[in-house]
Amino acid sequence: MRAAVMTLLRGRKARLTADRRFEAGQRLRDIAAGRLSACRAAKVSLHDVSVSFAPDRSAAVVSGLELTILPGEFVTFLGPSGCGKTTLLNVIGGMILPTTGKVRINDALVTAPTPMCNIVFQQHSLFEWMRVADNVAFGPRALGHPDPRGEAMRFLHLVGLEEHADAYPVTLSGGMRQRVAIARALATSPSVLLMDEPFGALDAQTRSIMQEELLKLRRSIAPTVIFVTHDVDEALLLSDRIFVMRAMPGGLKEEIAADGMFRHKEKVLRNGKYRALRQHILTQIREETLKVFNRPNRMQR
Amino acid sequence: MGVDLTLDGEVIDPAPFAPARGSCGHAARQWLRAFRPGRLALRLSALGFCVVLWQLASSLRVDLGIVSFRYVPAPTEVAIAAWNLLQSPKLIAHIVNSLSRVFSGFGAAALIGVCLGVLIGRLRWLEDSLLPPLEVLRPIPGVAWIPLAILMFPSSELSMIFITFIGALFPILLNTIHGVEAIDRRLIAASRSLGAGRWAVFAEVVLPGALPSVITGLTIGMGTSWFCLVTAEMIAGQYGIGYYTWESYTLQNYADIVVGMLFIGAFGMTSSALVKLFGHALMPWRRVQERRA
Repeated sequence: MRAAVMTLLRGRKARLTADRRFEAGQRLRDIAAGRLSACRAAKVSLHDVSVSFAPDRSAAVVSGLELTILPGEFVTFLGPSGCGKTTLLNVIGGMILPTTGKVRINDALVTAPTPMCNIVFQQHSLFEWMRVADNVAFGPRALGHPDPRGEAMRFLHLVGLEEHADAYPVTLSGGMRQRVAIARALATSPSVLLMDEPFGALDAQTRSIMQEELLKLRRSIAPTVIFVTHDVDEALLLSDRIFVMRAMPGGLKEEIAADGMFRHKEKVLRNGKYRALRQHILTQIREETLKVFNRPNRMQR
Repeated sequence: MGVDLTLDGEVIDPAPFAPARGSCGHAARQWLRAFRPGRLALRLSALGFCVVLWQLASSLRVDLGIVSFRYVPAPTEVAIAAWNLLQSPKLIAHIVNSLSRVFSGFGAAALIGVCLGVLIGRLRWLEDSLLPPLEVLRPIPGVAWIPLAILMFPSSELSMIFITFIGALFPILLNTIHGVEAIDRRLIAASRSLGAGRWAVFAEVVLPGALPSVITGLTIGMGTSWFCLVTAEMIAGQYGIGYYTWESYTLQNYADIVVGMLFIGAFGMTSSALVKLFGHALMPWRRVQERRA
């Protein structure tokens, strides 16, 4: 009986995923035909989301999360290592199902990865066996775009890499690879862009350039962006809202409105409010890090 | 945009110092760089040194207590035996029979090993149900399969192909499983969120992602297939390089045994190199990666 119910549920889930892929493909074809504007940012809402990897559902990684992210917002999650930032991103992207609670993009319940919501990882996220243009054209081709190569070239132009369209990813530098990953994620015109420490593996100079590039891209394409980073300056520079996360179990400790007021790097360096906010966030993260560090059974593990 | 090259304050023309693209000298330098004659010379010298050591050990009948070269034929005797075999009308029959057995066994192992490996790597329930019996069968050597192979198959030819098949199957299967399981989950997640269906994920992400491991398995499998040839051709009645080696042993023609061994080694090495070349052709991105390493 249980097996039959599970089969039915799996069938329903597969149908839902197929329907969403069809909708995304239709949307992409409409964009290509000029019937629809390229960007349609979505609202993301999390209701009482908890995630536990233990079989008995104890030791939650994320617990009781309530959150609404508005369409077009740039939201950043900051927090100590192991506080569940990446898990949260995977839950929103449909790669992990929450143990309890629901995630919705607009009104659609997230039960599996969907083309409405694409993700950029820190590294190793390109298909090494495909040329750069094929990497970017992967999404449009999967969704039945009439000209996937043309679409890929358009996005490669946007990130300034059209000259490297026929190169293999292995020949590119770390910064260039991340630009390809961003172009690939944007090529299906997602409503939500998830970014898991996308510039974490880059050197300081490249990182700074990539942050500026991302801000420029946001001006032309404006999906809802959910960003994870360890870098407070990066969070203040890019975000509309910052969520500082608490650890063990992961949850929201504090919400900080940055409102994009720090987007002009050169102006904010000597700005007192910037420095105070930066110090405040660092103190919050330090508190959480110490909490993890000083757990009584830490040494026994 | 460019920076002037100066010598004692005078701007000089860099053209004569730049490599002349398209010239014979440039082509020769490129060829030499690719060929790496130094390394090749070292390898050939090492091979020559081993043959000289072998010649000395055999002709001086060296006896080290644990290992003795008293009855080991010298390279000169082996060369004479090889020359006799090369002139023998049976040589072609030996080679053709062995090649057909090895390639039939290897082909079947490649087909079954890769398909099964991909499925086991992707489906947990199949891994749980198939991997335990396969793990039990894996350590059984080819020679232990001979009685069962004779009982199971209607002809000795099929029994021999089965032995070479068994030799090749496990390296191919296990490498394929490892290749599929080692694919970064983030790549599969990314492809699914980009809108790829099950088939696209399988064909465009899983298969090419596992290909380097599959090719490694095929290369090792080709080697072990030749490795099992003598065992397989112990069943044979007339022809095959393995049969020739085994027959030489029973007739105590020691030089012929070594000739048979060298033939198997040479054919095994060549066919493994062919599989590697095939792999290189299938994976152009790896060539780029190797060039940059």
